[in-house]
Amino acid sequence: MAVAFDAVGPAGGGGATIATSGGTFTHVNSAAGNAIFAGMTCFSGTTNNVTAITYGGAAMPQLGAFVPANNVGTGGNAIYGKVAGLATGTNNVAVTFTISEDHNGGSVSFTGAGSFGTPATAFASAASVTVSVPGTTAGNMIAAAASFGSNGGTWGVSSGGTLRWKRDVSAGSGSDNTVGGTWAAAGGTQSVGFTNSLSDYWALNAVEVKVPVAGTTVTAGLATAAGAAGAPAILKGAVAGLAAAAGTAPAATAKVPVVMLPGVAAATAAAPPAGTGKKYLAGLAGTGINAYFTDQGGAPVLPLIEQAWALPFNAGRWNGGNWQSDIDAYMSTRASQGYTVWAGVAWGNDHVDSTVLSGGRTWDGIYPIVVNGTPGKITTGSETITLNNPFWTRVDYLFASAKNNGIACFLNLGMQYDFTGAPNIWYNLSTTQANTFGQLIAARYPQASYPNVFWFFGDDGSGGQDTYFTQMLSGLAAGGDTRPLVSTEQLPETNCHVQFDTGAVYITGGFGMAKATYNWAYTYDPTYLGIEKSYTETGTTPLPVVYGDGIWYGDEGTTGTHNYVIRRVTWWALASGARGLNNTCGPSTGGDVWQWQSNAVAQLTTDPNGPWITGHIGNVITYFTSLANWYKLIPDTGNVLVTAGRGTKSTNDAPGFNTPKYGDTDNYVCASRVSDGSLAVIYCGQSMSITIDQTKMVAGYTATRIDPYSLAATALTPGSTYVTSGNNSAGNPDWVIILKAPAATAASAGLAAGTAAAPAPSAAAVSGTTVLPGLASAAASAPAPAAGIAAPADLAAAYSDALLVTLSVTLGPKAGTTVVTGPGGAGSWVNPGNALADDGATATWAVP
Amino acid sequence: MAGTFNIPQTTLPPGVHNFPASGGAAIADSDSLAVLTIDRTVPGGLNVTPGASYEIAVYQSNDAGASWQFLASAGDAGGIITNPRLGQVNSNVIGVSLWPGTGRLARAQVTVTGTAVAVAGTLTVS
Repeated sequence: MAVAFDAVGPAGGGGATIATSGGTFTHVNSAAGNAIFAGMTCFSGTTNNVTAITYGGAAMPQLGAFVPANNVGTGGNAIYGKVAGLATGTNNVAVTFTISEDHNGGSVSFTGAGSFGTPATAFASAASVTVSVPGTTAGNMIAAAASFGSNGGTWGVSSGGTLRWKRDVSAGSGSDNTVGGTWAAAGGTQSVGFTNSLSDYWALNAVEVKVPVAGTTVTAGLATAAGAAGAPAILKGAVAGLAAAAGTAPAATAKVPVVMLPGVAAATAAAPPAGTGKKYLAGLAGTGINAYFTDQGGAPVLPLIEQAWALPFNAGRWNGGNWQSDIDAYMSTRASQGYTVWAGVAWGNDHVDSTVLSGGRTWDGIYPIVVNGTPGKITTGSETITLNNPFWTRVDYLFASAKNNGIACFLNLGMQYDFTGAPNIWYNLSTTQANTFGQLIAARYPQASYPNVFWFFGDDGSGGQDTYFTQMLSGLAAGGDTRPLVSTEQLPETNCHVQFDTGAVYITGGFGMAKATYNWAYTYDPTYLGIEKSYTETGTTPLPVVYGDGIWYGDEGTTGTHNYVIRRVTWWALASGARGLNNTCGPSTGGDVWQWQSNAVAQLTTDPNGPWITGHIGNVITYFTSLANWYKLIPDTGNVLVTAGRGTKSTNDAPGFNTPKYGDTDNYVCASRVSDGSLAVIYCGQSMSITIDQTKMVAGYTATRIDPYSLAATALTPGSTYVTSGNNSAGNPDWVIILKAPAATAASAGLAAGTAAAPAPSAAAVSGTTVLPGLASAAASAPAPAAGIAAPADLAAAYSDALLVTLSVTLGPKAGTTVVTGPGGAGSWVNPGNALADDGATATWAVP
Repeated sequence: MAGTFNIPQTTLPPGVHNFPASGGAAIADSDSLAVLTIDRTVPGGLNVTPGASYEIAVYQSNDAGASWQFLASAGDAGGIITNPRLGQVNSNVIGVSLWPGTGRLARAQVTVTGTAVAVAGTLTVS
């Protein structure tokens, strides 16, 4: 008995493309004892994102390795097979995968088959590719499938073969086209493969389809094992050891054969998604100025942001088209350096890269938008627009790579330059199209699938694009998008709300005033100014503030002070209560990262500006966020803590591009304090000699001098005065002073000194409580936890049982009212003493 | 231990040409991949020789060169070739997994048809 061709799926040999979240094509199988073989491409990446293929519900294990196109990616190909136990008649070949992109393939069934042989693979950049299948036996057949990078050519099959399917889709990656074929095995080593009239990347997989071994019974699910008798089977390299390398090691999958002993079923479990379990920025907690960023588990996060603007559209430009490699290199390297946010645009514009192609295209010419059915640039504002899948596939990959590395993405959907530069993507955008675009983005990037992705708007604008931003956001909302983080960048020396020089609202009724959920301070002045003014702004709804943009690393040119400047930018912000921070590799000394130029990858680890980004900022953030209650720091704008020696505060310029103030002689002492006195952070760019009000710190607080560069700590004697002198390890006079509660009392102190001066709680009233299941009655009856009002017994009991209780309190007319007593007595609340900012303010207290 | 065998620039008449011309390049026991790359842009190379075409192939020997097993091949035509994704094609590549063994050798083979053409390249095992 010989193996014979049975059927091809889909019938007709046109192959199939599955591009959404998974899908099927049909295959008509004639007998349960047949074997079925399938080839399936991936559009992007260097690893297989197909997680399962089934026929009639039965799993088809992967046979051999996934082969990246020409071994460098932009997708690739893999084959799958199953012997016996097949449904008969018309059934679905179902394909599931982790990346919503083109997957092209087909299937062939065989009669008289008992097993699959040892798969063989090859890759090429050429017009044809063949691979040898050794040790074949006459009477068997060989099945092969390949991916190819170009569409529109003429397909062929190597000598003796029959083309079973072919499918041309696009030249959008190295593998968006597929071909499959079969050959009668002639015995011995046999060469099989495909040809095309074009020349491009190939990924080829082939396998012998064998008759049953004499005396054996073909059993469903043992396909590879049965065929492995007498020869080791090479299984896919990603079976075990390559999971961690997914997306980062283009060559690995083709290089690591795993020998499987005969009699062992093929291991086909898909590698778990890389980075599973990584924490990433996911939202906000708290309210108003007291809010802070959190990860998906609710833990506080200090976003460390880099604006590597051009990564999405210039990725692959300098390495032969392997954009996945660039993206993975960026995300993994920056993650290892402590970064938690990438900020940038998806498409090119002539501000970010003066050499950019028009219409927002990638470096290799892929448009973001399909206009009236053809990828292109909007010209009238009345066209029908959709997303161009090959373009957004790269963005998909960027988002996934970021998530795998614990990085969130602030994707800018419209810089000012996108609208005002004639070559750029939104130059002719209509508000109707803006709304449509928002809906398209919402549909492609649901928060459930992309929880690390958030939308951003603007940059260097002054309200002229706000209508479009509003429409995009409306479109997103109409598409079901409810992401909690939205912000905008206006001109320098503003935040989302006000201009720093006067404190006046910058754009009355503007997008930032109405829509921002966190405040983005943009300044080339000393960062403390913008941060402090974001806390003290009036006529707005205060928001948590980040130092979002301004002076980058190396921006001051070649003065040799890069580390000193960026260190002050950083610590001025941190010591002033910034909830997030931008440190971007700057361009002034040739930095390529922000525009993703030819040396970008190398400069991720060898920064021409110096070692701050590669070796220090991550440590700074790690140290800073190790300080208990860091996310509750409020700047000491009223000299309540630092009562003397504050130095001279700089002044803000008017909105616009002014001469940056690098602050070489700035001696202002930045200071911030947690209201319960559990922590204070003090920093000055010069030596300082300060006096503090020790009553604003908890009793027994400790004082430490921190080297802002090396983070070396030196214990200080707590007292009312602190003097720094001499230089730090970087040779500059700036130092940090940390005052904090002793460890044993950090969670419960705060009443020792500070509350004596606090106004008595007045007219406090419970407006609502939230209690975990089982505590509903407590919630309903809990009175305000204010002095003189006893906690109800059930709430006290819940507290004593260590159940988590969150109590929301709305204060009456007395701003500054302070909760001083919890149900367990003084100090039993986690954060007693929190003075509320304003009449009618709300706050929450959590009891662990 | 990865290694690279350089194919110096040389003009090949129609026919079969092996690199090395005799024997083979050593393969470490731990090596598992062979990649042959041919530069089409050298003077007299395939890009400027539309009358030529070639097949490039990788072979492996497990018996010190006594016999050679074909592993994989790729072919391409002469003249300037462009595609919408890569632009001008300036090199051709064939890569293949090596079969297990000890004391193995590898060699490249270029089969030229049509007119003579210059080649230069590398055979890398890793």
